[in-house]
Amino acid sequence: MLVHALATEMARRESLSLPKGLERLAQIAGRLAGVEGAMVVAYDDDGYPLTAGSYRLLLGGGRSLLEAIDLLRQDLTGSVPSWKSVNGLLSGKATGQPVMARPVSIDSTVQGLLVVRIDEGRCEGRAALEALEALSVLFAAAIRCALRSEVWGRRDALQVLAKRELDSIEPDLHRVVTQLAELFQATATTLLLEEQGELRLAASTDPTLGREERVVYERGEGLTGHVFATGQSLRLNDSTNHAEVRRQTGLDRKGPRHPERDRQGATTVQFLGVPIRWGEQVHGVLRMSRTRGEARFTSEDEHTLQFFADLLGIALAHAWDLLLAECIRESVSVPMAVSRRETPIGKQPVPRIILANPGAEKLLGRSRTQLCGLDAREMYAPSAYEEFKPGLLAAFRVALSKGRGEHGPVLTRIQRPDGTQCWLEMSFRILANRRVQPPVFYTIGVARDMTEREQQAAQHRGLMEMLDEMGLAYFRSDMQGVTLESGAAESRVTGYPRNEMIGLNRTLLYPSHRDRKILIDRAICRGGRLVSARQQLRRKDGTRFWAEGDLRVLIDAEGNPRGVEGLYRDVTDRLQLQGFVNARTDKVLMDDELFAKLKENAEFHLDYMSSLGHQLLTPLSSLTGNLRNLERGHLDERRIRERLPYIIGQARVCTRLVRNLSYMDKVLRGEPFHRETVSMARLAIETKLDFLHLLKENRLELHIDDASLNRNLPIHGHREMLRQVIVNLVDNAIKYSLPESTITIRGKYRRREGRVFEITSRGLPIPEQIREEIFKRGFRSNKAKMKVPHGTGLGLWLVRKIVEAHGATINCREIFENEQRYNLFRIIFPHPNADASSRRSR
Amino acid sequence: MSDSPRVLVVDDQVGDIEWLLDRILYRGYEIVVATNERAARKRLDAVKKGEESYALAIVDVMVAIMDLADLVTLDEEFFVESRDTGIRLCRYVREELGISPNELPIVSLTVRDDPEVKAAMEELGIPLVSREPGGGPADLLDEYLERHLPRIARSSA
Repeated sequence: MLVHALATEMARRESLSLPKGLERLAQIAGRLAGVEGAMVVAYDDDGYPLTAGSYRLLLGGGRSLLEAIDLLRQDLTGSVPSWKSVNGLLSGKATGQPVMARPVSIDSTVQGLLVVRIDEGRCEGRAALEALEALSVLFAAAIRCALRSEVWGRRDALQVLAKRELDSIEPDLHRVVTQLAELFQATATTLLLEEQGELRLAASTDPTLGREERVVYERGEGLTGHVFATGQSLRLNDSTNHAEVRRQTGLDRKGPRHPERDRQGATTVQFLGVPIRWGEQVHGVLRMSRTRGEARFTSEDEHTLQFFADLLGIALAHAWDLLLAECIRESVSVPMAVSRRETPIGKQPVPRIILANPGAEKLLGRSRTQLCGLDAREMYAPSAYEEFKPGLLAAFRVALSKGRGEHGPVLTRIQRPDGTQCWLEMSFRILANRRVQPPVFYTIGVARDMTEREQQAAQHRGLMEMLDEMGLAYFRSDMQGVTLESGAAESRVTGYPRNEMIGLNRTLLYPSHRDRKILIDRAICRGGRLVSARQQLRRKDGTRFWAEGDLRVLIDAEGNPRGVEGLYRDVTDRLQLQGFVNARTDKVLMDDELFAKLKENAEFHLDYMSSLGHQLLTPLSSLTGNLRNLERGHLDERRIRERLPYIIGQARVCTRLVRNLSYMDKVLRGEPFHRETVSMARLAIETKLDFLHLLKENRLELHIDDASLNRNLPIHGHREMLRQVIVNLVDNAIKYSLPESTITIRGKYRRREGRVFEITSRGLPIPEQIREEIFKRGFRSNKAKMKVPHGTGLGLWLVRKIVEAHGATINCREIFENEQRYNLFRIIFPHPNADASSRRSR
Repeated sequence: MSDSPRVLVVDDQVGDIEWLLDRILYRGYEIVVATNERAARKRLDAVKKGEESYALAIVDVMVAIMDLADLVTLDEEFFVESRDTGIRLCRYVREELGISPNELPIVSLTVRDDPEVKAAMEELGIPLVSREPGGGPADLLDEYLERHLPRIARSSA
């Protein structure tokens, strides 16, 4: 029955704490007939009593249980394992019943003690001792089982603890030590972590620790410093025992430096310290203590605690790496230095650089070794650090409460050892290592070299000056049109002083709000690319000017428009000049185009003047010759009467030519001119009268269909210019018509096209390929040159110019009437409304 | 009429020189007008043959090549330079037909002061005179008219 009970106990699956397990064993022994009470004591691996479980049996005698058991142990050591009376060691009042004890061993290892009280007066008592004697090995095995179960149960609990507490970036170290203290039944548990080469208090279950002075251990200082320095665990049963301390550590210890105390305030003496390792490095020490008389720390405790400390080392190192890595990842630029705020005792804190990357070395002009240990404030230009210090201190306060703080970016200057200075944009990230007391601040300084930006700014200024010199107006505005930047040239062009220009809404520069919107919409559609534009703008005084230039929408990193910038110049004068030289005015020509146009224009003017001179010369010569003949009396009266109308006609031709000079200039420049209702019929008849002589000389008829002209061709136009059109066309018809043919002028109305003026003549055929050419300035066909050597090639060109100035068109074609071939020149004056509607639809 | 001495005027724009024609008429001469080179050559050929005679030939330096009626019958490509028709005519008279200045004095008229034309005419010994009437009471043209066209009292005058 006893065997069965012990076997069942060893096979129990649920884990009990060691004292409970021992108590059950004591129960099993105690229920044996003849046993009054029993106790089972477990020894640790070193052979010292660890704990006990009892059944109706108390030990003590004014001593603590373990002290009493230890006396028992010492009493039994060396003797043959057998029952021995230990009555003298019993506590309480003597019952007269003998208490017998014997060690229980397995594999020649003493695993513990079996203590029983028997009733000697009964025979069962003796028999019970014999039965227990026989089963002592089974008891030893059961104790070992209980011990193992305890060990494994605690390791499981530690793993759970590690998983739960150490998985977060910032583990709650206080909770960790509290739970460790429970699991190990330690009086106090303390965690110390390395910071700046020394151990500092991180967490402790002893609230008195560090209350009066900072808990700091140098490497090798005291028991804790010894663990830190050697990286080896240390277990002491009595840390006040100098001999034991010296034997284990070689230290000549005067006394505990930062002792832990129990609840009663007594200094603990049992010490167990394990290093917190990560790779080769020791990052801290986890230590626990017990007061005298409590169970000794076992080697199992030592191994288990080391096991947990290793987990802790991994977790803490990992968390720190993560923090740094995250900060580095968040950094936008390369140059980076880490400084640590060090506070020497009794002195002001100093931020010392502990880490610098190659970017920082280059930027700061110092090697890494020169940088490490440098007071970070020394790298700034004089007074530069003071400027952002308040912001930095505020970030420290945030970091103290939240673990992290940020400051910046701030624009500041550093000074290199060679005295050169450099503009930087600094961003600070502050990490507080709050695991140690007091917390330690790490400042990660991320720099962006602004020298380049400063240089760019200088270049920008230089560029702006150059643009101003060139008369190019630069502007930058937000999307609403508020001017953010504007060059001096813009003030000159617009008339707004510079202080008014900045902040001015640019819609004010446009004749209407819509004009700007249309332009900006175009630019948005182009998505950041340049848009060329010629736009009429308004000066401050309300006058208008033509601006030509390019603008673009500025796009931000997300691809959204964030502003507009552009360059333009006042091209009003230039466009006027272009108009003056008869070039297009819808865009600003390139210089070479303009020069070509100027040259062409100058040549044309020479041609035109020469032609006009010739046209004037002929009638003037004729006039002079005739008048001189009159003066000389070469003409008789009949001849005088014949000649006079002709002479007067010559004078009128001269007058008209001179007057036309000013009209023609306007037409050629595209300037507006006076218009009135002009009867083409009347102009045709007047022209005919002027040409009668020539018609007669060339034996030609000029037929004017004045009815059709009257009906269809009152034209809103310039009388003298339109006369010039008819004169040139009739003159041409006369010069190139076959003798005895008829020239016809008539008017038509065409519903679709408009009013039509036609002149037909039987003249030199005009081949199809030159029917457009003949309207070009200076063009003359070979046949025309053979017939009229003195011609200029300006007549038809001028006709087309005038016609076009009236919004009409002219073309030339060949027609057949009564099997005769005619040249037809047709001018079409489109319907005024048809013209407007077609323009609208365009 | 046919008995009156005649002057040959080679010009395609005689309307512009009516005043000159008046002066010739005043001197009692008849005028024969050739408005182009082709017509002029016919007249000059007739002089060579002795069929016609002229007291003076007045030749414009630039004159049409031919009548429009003739011109329209020609190919598109046909082209003769008309800038120096007068020079060509004068050369024709002096060098091809061999008509001497005594037989037919010639005065050439021009609107432009062209040195090439001037040189060519000088070489042929033909005076080149402006079509414009001179500024004074008598001009260069009057001198030539006076020299070659002595005034003849006309029955009709």
